Amino acid sequence: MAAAPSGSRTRMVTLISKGGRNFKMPEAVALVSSRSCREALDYIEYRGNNTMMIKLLDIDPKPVSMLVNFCNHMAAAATSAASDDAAQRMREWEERFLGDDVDQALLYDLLSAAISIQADGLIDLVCKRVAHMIKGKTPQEIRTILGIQDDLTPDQRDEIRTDNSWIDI
Amino acid sequence: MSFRSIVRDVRDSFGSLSRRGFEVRFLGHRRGKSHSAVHELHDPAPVIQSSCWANLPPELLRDVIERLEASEATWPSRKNVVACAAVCRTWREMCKEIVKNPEFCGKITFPVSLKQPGPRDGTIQCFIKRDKSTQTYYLYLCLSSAVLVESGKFLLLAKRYSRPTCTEYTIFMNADNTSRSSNMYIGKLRSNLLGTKFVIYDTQPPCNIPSVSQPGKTSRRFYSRKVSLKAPSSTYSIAQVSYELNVLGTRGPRRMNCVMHSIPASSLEAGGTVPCQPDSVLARSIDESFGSISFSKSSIRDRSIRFSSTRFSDISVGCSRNGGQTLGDNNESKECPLILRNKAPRWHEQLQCWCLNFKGRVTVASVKNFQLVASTQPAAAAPAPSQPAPTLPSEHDKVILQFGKVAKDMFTMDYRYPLSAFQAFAICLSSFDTKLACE
Repeated sequence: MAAAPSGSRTRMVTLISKGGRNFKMPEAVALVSSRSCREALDYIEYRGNNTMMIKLLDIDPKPVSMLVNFCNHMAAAATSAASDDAAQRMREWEERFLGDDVDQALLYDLLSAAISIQADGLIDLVCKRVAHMIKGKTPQEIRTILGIQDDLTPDQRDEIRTDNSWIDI
Repeated sequence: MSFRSIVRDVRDSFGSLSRRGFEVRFLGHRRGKSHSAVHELHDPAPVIQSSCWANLPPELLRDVIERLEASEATWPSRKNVVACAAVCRTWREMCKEIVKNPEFCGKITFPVSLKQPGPRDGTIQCFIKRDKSTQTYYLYLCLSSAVLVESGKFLLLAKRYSRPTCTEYTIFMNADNTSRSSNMYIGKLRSNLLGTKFVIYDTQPPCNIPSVSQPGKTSRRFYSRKVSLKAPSSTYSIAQVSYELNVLGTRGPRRMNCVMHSIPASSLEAGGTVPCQPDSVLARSIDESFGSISFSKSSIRDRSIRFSSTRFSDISVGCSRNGGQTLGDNNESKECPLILRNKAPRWHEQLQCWCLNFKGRVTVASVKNFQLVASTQPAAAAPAPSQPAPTLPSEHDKVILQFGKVAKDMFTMDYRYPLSAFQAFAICLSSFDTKLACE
């Protein structure tokens, strides 16, 4: 999996969370999962076996650890053959990954962590989850779930009243 | 190079790449959680959104809403898109940006979709149910491709009123409030006594009305709400439909002719569009044109008389009838209106009947059935009776509106660009009323 040149150790990428905790993943995983890493590594001509350090000092350890976990899992899944079974297993894993213990705040922090290293796979997954959370909900329910305040203008409220009386027929 | 400098180089180079991303992306996050005071100073809105989700970076909000919109392509679940557009201002703006007009996506989402042109590719398939006991006609969006399945999303309804000198169909967006002063009233169809000439009226003015200075035009929010809800709805003539016997008299199918004043003939040319499409079905535009009520502009008050239907129709048709007579004070409306004619059926010798290829969407023979195509001839509104069945140039062969019977009291209606659902429905209603029969 890690495409290390023969004779050298596997190069790693380290993410540093709030509180100075380190989470490592192999460089090959980072290359596959993170656009920022790919760009950075293109940029650097020589770094030998040095570890690339990425500071996410605003983000708690838990989301950063989940991010690394996600990247590792995705990279492993990418190397195995695609099949309906594999797709099903991935879906199940994603559901467990964003299980009931992942609350709003953690979800948001996870999203922030994913954005910071441009981990598109995780960004997609979180957006998918948010879309799923709001599907079928009324506007007030969506506001309650996401803590958004109603700041609509009177014009907009008029239009919405018209919309509402038409969509439910 | 020392080890330390290499590490520093790596860190710095990475940092400079990601820092940009960092700051752009984290601004929303930090502000949302701990710097709401800063937010307050710069945000003109009276409501401060303090939740981090409310301050989601635009590209992410777009991602979420695009996913939702793409997965809720059909009704009834498409109502979830409308629900997202009712959450808060930024969500509403994002939804309106993401949801494309029916012209481009072939989907009906908000009520305003009913007044916007149909798709350029393909058609929107609908069906009409007639309730003779209440003289009401219901238009639905087909949710099933099977022609006889009554599974649909309600779009519009029309109530028929028979009067001494004419018949009228008033068109509403729902059944609950069918008074003309309600916001649900969006237009009407009126026929002459014989049922040979009809005029379609819209509660919103088309833009090719003789020019009126509209002081509120730059900002749609600038109107007087108290007037829009209480004033009787005015309507504007947007199209005329006429029926004639053809050269064979009642032995042949009748001929239909529609002059669409609010759609220029150029809309069918390459690069053409339908101008001035509404962004809302609410008839608040009345106030912008009737500026006299809320803004006391005497120049507008003087011109209000031009909005009466008969005057308007005379003015608009002048373009086609009299070889390009200009409208009003400026040359804006020299454009010829789109004219639609019904496609001539062919006589089928073996079957001994007139045939049109409805592609399976019409299954019961009826004189009401028709297919409308664009006419390229800028002729007078009524075709000369002595002409044989017209052959139309190939580029205008697309059937823009098709209507026909499939069961007792059930009809299909398929329409496409540049007609809107409202216009298509009104034209179809005229087919119910005309007394010209065919043996």
